[in-house]
Amino acid sequence: MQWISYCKSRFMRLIIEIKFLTLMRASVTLAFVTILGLTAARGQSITLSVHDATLEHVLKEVEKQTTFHFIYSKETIELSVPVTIEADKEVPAIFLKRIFDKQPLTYSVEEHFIIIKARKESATHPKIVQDISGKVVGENNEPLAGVTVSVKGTKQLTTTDDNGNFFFSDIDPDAILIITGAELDVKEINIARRNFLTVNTRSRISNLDETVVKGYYITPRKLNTGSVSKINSANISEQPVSNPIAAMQGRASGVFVTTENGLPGGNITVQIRGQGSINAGTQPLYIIDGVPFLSTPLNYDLSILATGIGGLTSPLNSLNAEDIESIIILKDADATAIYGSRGANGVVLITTKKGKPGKTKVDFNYYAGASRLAGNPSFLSLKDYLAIRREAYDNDGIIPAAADAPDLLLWDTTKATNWTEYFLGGTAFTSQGQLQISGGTATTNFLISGDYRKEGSILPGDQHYTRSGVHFQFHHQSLSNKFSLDFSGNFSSDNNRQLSTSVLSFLTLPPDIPLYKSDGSVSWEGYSGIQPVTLLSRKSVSQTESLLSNLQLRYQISRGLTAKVSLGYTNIDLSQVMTFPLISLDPSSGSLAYSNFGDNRNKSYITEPQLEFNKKIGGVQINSIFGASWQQSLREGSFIYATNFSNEDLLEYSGAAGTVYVSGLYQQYKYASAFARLGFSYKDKYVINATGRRDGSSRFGPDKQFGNFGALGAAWIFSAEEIFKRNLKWLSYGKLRASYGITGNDQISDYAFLSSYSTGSVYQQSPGLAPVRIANDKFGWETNKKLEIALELAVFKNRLSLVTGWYRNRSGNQLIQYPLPYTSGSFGSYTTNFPALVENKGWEFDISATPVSNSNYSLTVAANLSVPVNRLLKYLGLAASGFSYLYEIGKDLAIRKGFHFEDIDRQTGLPVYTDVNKDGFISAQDDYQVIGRLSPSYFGGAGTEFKFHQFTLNVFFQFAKRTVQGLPSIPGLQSNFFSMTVSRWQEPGDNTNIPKATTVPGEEYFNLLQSNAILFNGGYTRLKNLSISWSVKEKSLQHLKLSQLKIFMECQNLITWRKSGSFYDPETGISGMPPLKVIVAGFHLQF
Amino acid sequence: MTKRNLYIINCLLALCCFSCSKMITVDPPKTDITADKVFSNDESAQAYLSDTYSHFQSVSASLTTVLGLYADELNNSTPNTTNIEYDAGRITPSNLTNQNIWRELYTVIYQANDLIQNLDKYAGVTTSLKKQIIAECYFLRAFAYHFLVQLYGDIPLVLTTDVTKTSAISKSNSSLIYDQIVSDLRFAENNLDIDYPSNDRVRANKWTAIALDARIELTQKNWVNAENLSDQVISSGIYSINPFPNEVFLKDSPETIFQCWDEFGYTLEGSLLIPDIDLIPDYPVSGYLLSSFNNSDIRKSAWTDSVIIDNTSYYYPFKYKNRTTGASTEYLVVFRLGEQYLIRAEAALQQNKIDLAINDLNIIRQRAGLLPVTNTLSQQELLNVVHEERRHELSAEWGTRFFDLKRIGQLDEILSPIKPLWQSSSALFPIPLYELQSNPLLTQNPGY
Repeated sequence: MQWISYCKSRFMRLIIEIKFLTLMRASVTLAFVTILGLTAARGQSITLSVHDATLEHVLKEVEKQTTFHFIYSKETIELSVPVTIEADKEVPAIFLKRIFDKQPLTYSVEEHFIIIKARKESATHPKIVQDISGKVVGENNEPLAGVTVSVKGTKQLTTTDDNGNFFFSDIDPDAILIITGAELDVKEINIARRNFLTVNTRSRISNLDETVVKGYYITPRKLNTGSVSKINSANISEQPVSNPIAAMQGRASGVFVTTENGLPGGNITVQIRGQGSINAGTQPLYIIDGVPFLSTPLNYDLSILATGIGGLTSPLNSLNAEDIESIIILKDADATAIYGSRGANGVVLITTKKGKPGKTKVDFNYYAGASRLAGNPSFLSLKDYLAIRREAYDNDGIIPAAADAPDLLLWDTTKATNWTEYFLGGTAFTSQGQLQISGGTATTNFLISGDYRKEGSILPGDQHYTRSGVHFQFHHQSLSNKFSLDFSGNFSSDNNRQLSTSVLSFLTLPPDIPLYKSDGSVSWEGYSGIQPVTLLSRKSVSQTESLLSNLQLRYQISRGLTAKVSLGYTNIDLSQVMTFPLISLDPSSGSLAYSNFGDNRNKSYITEPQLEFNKKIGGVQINSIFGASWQQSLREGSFIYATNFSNEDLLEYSGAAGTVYVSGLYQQYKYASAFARLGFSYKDKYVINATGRRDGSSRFGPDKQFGNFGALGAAWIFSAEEIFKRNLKWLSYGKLRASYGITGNDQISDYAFLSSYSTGSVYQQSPGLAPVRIANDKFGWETNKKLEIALELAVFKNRLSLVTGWYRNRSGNQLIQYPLPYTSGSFGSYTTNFPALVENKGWEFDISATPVSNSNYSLTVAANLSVPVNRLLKYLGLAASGFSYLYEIGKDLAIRKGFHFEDIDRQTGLPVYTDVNKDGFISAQDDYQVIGRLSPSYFGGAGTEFKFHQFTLNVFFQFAKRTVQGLPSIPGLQSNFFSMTVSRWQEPGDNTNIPKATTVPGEEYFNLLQSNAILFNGGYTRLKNLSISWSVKEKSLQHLKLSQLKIFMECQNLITWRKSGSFYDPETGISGMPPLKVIVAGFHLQF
Repeated sequence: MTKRNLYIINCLLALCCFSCSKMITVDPPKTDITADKVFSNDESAQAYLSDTYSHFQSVSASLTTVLGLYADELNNSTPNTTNIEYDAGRITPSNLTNQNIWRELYTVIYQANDLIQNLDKYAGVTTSLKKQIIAECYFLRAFAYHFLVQLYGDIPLVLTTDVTKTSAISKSNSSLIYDQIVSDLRFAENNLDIDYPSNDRVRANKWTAIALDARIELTQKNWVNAENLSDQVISSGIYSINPFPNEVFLKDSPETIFQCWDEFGYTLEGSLLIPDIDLIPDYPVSGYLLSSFNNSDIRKSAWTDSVIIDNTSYYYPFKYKNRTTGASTEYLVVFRLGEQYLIRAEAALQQNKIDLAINDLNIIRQRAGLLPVTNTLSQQELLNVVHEERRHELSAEWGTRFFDLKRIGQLDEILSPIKPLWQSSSALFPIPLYELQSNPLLTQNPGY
């Protein structure tokens, strides 16, 4: 009844509605009486002469000259065509007939009212076509560019320009337009003879209509049979991180992200659904724009280069988070089996931003801010420290002597240095700018961006990190849409200046240890080997350069059959220099200044031809893909230890060294595969997806190079069944899916099957050759059998959705470094398959809700929770093997075994351990037991986005329940401990878990180091991200010639809540620099 | 899936397999040397052999020190638990020195097996060199086994490098080990030249193999063979007793049959046994050994030395004079003529060839500045003199004292009263714990 919505006045409208009801009833007879009625009207006549006038104008003239009133809707009148008529005192009936014959409209008469309607198309009429232009706007009436508009039932398709406009010529006046956009609800609208349309769209509440990229193919989320998590660009770019992997933390269920080192460039590990391998790698496969990328830290093979404070260098740091369009994580067999042997640990697909057709746009984004250590560990104050030291001497009955207790007798006991503050107390300033230009037409478009980032350091001295990069993407398709080409590239270069020695061990220095002697020179007293002041002269400079490029060609051979080829090349080089000047070396050691030089060059090529075939047979939609993949990687490196320098200033130049020791690294890796996918869906209700892959890897011996992998996934969209549609109206979507399959793992070192020899002992003046690796060409793939069952639900018009999944992965034929007896040579171990079985199972929950969403404000909430369980199910001969101290059948792989520390004896103040075999002695052989585990019991994230007019607020929390490993307190030593040490045992009756202070700790104290006293509750909740942004209204921007201006503030790792008594950072524990707290502010401009 | 689809997939897969093996063939690593390069080139094959020889330096240093402690030659003044255990007459399976000895000896066996197997497999090494290296490897393998069998009794007999066989292998009876040693040595003797393959007598020649063979036959109480073999070495005419005891261990000593080359001109023994200035020696000579020397024995003054710390004299073995780089070069002596005279003397005596035995014995005594023995002594008395001579002549050399006590059957008699933890089962050392944990078929020696 839309057509009556428009009328001359409100009053009229009331009457019309009443009349209309009557009219409806009589509608059958009306057609006959129309002309009669008009003829019978009271002798009225019309005189009018117009040329190309609007119909509305003409009708108004008629109203003036007669008693008739016209009723029509705005939409109806918009359908009219211009009127040219000459009339002299014409009867209204004739006049109206003359006009309306040329109009796509009809009219009917009800007393004084003439009702105008769109003419119904009749089969006999010649086909009428029209042009239409329109504009697509969003919830705030902002024009939307790049939205696809297609005409239903035809091949006509266009995208909106920068002002949201679109145009079609010669289309059916009743055509239905389909408006689709990546983040929009799909909308269908009848053009109903209008020449201009404004289409209001709504952002998608449900993501069901979006497509899911599963590596080589895309499937609608609705029909997806596998377990796939997605993190979109908005969630990535709101986090001011330098490594995009950090932005994944807490965002996807089943994905456990741990920062190993919070300093710039630091490594981040990702574990998807637990540790499946005992010895082989557990890193996921990273694919960036279709090209496999490194997961191994760049200085992993030259491990001495990772001894600096920066630790291992993550290769993914060379990607700019702002360039990323989405990160997709593939988890179950259905999603990962197409990656065959490399899918066992999950797959992370990173897609970079692409250009969009439309006006050429220039975006500029800049932010700057500061970071500090998130939560300083708190140590004993000088007063407490000294009190405990004196108490320890008292307890021991020893009178402190200057040689053993300089901290009490020689050093100034009134001056304290807070070592945490000294080393980690700084503020690092960060800034990042990015300029992006994009645009083009629907057939050819591009995007190019450049960025620069500079990060200071919380460490003392001049340490900083800079990165600059260029990203580009080019797309072209032929007019016929048969051929398309995509070319993308990413180049980045970074420079990381840090210290070449970690400072973590200095945090426990006695607070009164002096840095300088009374004469002002550096004091080495009390330091073993390293001195804090001179340490700052030890520089580590690492430079990374990376190039990633990908070319994709696609040609549609015939309907449903497409050929594709993807070519990729990546190159990532690291060069690092670590200097150890003379001043930083203990003068008593007599060592010479030295430097470590490292070089690591990685090159990789990949070629992947593919054939895609899609067809609908009967009600069954078949989607298939067949492809092959060939990859070749080369990792080369060199390491130089240089000393005996002619000049201290030349430590960064190996050429200036008198003595150099050189070693090298050369690893070639080749990979060839064929893969296939066959998907069937019937009526969008029943889906079956089969994937398979045959892989060959150069990492295995000649007979064991090939392996077959595959998976079967099935889904039932039960909400599409009539019975559910009828009875459960609130259910918008319901799917049950399951998958089972086999994936593999080849994350072992290259050439492990080959025996090799290297420099041995010198004999008779010439260097000998010694075997370094024993030949074993009998080992093959580690296989991971994955099972998953999941339920996906969406209710209340998709406002609330819930995905619940249960998985069970069993990883067998374990590739392990099996300990070898010396009867096999002195190799220690060799790579082999071992009949051990590791199980990872668990529950995953993803929930998202949009309780409110309208053009003024919206609220979305999303949360995920993972509850993993890891167990070693089978390990032949574990009890007799050297691994019996590490693992236990039926337990997590990350367990720790040791003495069970019960308590402090209230009488003696000494630690008490459980004497398992009750022989009165505590010994590792008899009394070790499982004392805890380091893997998480559960983890997840929860966040909300609140939009209010131009404001957007994002809050995201991340949490995990786990244990971290640290150091127990042994009060009384010349070393500081955490502030909890204050509560040590002091006199009989004291109830505490910190032992009596002593300067001569016996075995019962050292046993603490092998007991659960090293395990700390590392459960935490972190306010991972808080970001606020304000977009200036489009109207106010027009005179500035800007199309977008956004001002924002973003905070990362802002607050961490953790259990008291836990002094270690819950992520890094004792082993690394904790992640930093970052606060930045910035703006985004678009021209 | 239709039959046709299946067919297409199968074809694709088959096509792939056909060409894939080549597609994933990688170049060998440029930083490591692969087997084909090692065994197809004269220089690299010799380099591999060289490394095999070099392992005896640490074996020797370990045996000299810890077997010296275990028997009645040396005292322990180190805080080292592994040494304390040896000194007490009982070691635990986790003792690291015990593990190192085992490891080094089996490493030699692995490398010898590797060379023996692969030199035949790969072409490229000159035929004569190939023959010689293989013969040297047979000698090295026998040499390693002769220590292992005496230290541990029944042990795994490893004659291949196939890891599937060597990583789970049970013990062989010690008699089988001896059979293998003898057969290896016979092969070496037949294939080695009389001339040394290189300068300085640091690689085995025919006489080296025969010298070891003589020692084995003595151990096995095959007196005829022992006499015959040591006689071959003595009458070869290449070696002569060095008249100056102080120069017996210099690299050019005419007495040396075979020695291990070292890089800096001093042996590991020298650096371990000779104390640093003003420090108590780590392994002082025991009172038992010291008091057994005749005062006029030059070997006491030439082959031991003393240092006075806090008014206490500490004697230490001083056969090797250099503890760091010294004025003259010393190599590690493995076989020397002195031992061969004592072998021939003992073997002759056992066959009641008294005169021959006395003659040999006096050659050694004469150099030591002792009076010659006369044939007024009984056979048993003479045998005691031979054993005492061996004790002094071969003191602090490769743990000979321990092996002799064991051979003569006097371990319990002599060591039980002076070693607090000595048991009869101490005659065999325990199989290292690591080895037991990584080889499921191995069993521990009795008593451990």
